[in-house]
Amino acid sequence: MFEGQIITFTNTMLPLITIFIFIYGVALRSLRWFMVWKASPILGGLKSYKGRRLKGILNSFILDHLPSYSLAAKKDMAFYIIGVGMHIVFIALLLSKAHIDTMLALLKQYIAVPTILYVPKPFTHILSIMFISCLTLMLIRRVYQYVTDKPLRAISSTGDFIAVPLLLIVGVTGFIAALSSQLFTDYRLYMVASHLVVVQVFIMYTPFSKFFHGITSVIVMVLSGLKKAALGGV
Amino acid sequence: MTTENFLRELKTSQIIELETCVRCGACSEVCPVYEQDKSIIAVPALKLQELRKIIGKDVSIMGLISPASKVDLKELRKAAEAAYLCTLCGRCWIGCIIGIRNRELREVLRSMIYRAGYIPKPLKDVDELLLKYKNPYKPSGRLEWIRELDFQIPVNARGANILYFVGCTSAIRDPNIAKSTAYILRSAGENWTIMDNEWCCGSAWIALGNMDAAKNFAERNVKEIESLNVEKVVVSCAECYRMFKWEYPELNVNYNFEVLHISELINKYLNEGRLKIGKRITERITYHDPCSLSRLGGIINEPRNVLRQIIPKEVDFHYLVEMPENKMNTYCCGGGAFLEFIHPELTLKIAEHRLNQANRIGAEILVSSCPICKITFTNATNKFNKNIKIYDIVELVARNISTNP
Ligand code: HEM
Ligand code: SF4
Ligand code: SF4
Repeated sequence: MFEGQIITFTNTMLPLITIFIFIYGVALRSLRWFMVWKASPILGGLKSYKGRRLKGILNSFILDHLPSYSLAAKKDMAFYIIGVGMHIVFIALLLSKAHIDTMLALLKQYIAVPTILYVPKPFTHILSIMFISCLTLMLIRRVYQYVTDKPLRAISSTGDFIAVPLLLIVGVTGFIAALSSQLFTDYRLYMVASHLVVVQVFIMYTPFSKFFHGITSVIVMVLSGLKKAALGGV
Repeated sequence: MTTENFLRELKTSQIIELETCVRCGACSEVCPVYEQDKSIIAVPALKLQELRKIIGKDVSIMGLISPASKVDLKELRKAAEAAYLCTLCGRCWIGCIIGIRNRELREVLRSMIYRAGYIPKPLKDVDELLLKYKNPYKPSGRLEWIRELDFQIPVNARGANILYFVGCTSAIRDPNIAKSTAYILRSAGENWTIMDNEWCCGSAWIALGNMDAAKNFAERNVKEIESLNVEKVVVSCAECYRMFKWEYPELNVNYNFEVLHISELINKYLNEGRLKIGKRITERITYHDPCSLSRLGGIINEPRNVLRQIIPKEVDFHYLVEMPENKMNTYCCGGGAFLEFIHPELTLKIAEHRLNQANRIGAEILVSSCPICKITFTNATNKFNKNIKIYDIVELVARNISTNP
């Protein structure tokens, strides 16, 4: 009885609230972009951007991030590997069997979806550990720089100290939920439910936090790539 | 001045960039000013944070809900010191993993500060000179260098193939660059001219923060040049090149002539045989890419091709050596955007760091292709007693060409 209520909450009620808040947040944030749209369109100045556009864009997603090209990597390799590693692992984890199956189950209620390749289970445990370690190291870096008066002290905002711990909790609850299919199986429902709740908090928080860069950085990277292409640097 | 007013100075893409910064601090690792100064207000991303504060609504739930707030002028005054502690070299763009064009956002921040009247004291004089005399340096003497030449220069000749736009720094602070360029154009037998009523290309205005004046100057220069009916405009200054080639179109000032940097033209002359190199240089040369020419201008190979023709051909790898930070990643000379006027010691420190890079690879000559770089490096060599010669690329070429029509 009680278990049924938990499932209804995490799988039916909360998703509606999550989606509503997410869309509301995205709309609010993009409102500001449109407020200045007339005065300066997003492509302002882009008319003069000629050159190998596609190559420029591809470069800014791939080549510019390789350690031998990235100026950031040359300056601080540890920071670079941890940061880029965290992102790659994050995407890989989203492609794990558990995530894909959940998404497909949700979608299949409405449309026919083909089966997709996914990252097989034994790897996801390793990926989870890598994800949690990378995030922990990033948090340590920020706290360390904060207390020693390094650059991050000047630029960090409160949100920076909320975002990473929140994502850490997402990772940890996910890892525990995955383990619960073999270990402490009695508590599996609670483990999975807590992960689902935290994930949805993360999604709701995204438009109001630095997580939003996951969306906007794509735009910025395209523009930066176009600029480099126009300059002839690619 | 309300937030909304200020918001309109930003392009949509720039607001997105402001919101995208993840405050990772990678930009501070690569910023020459932060590297040498180490003060917290030199951190590039901090200046983005200042700008975010000024446009009022920070990215937070409260910020999104609350209506546009009035800009606190005190915030602008506070931001002024940080905004002008920057050479506008653009390295933070290359260092940012996402590719946020931090430098252009700094221009916006400066324009807000300029409007509020908080530019640093040393720049007030520059502002006045620019307004009155159309150059940032001194009341008169823009054409004095012509009188020091032993040949005649065609002035305001209509329909010439090439107009040499001298630029304030080459004309006033380092006339040897203007003279060498004139000598090269003459030696190549070019049909060329200069104008006697040049105004600053506008880069000084952008560095100060007066975008409207920059646009005015751009429009006025373009109008005067177009009235001369020339085919191409050649510049010997990296700042002028960036302005004409990239900023004028962004300021919506369009023109009907082609713009070249002198190194492109020399490269062409050498390839066509219109210029011939006589004596080759057998000292080790390194080329310093000026930020505005390479990273912000896109001219990277031409100066190197020119230099390759001045040194012994067979072993060019021995005579032309690269510093570790070059091309798009080039390190700033320290003299850009009037940092030299506000923090002269810091400028010299940045230049010294670059000179040490040149020393480490055993270079005997450091060549640049921007008068500001040359002046800054020359000052630093004198101050720190460095054993290296500083030249502009046109000086080396002019010294070594053999044709003498
Ligand atoms: C094109 C896509 C993306 C780019 C270019 C990008 C870039 C970056 C960069 C440069 C950092 C700083 C790294 C560091 O501090 O070591 C960062 C941090 C981070 N990113 Fe991304 N990111 C992208 C997508 C995403 C996505 C989809 C998410 C998931 C929501 C995400 C979550 C995070 C988190 C949690 C941090 C840590 C923030 C912190 O250190 O406080 N990113 N990202
Ligand atoms: S433009 Fe150059 S000096 Fe200015 S913040 Fe960026 S890297 Fe530093
Ligand atoms: S490197 Fe880019 S994302 Fe990171 S703090 Fe600097 S501007 Fe922001």
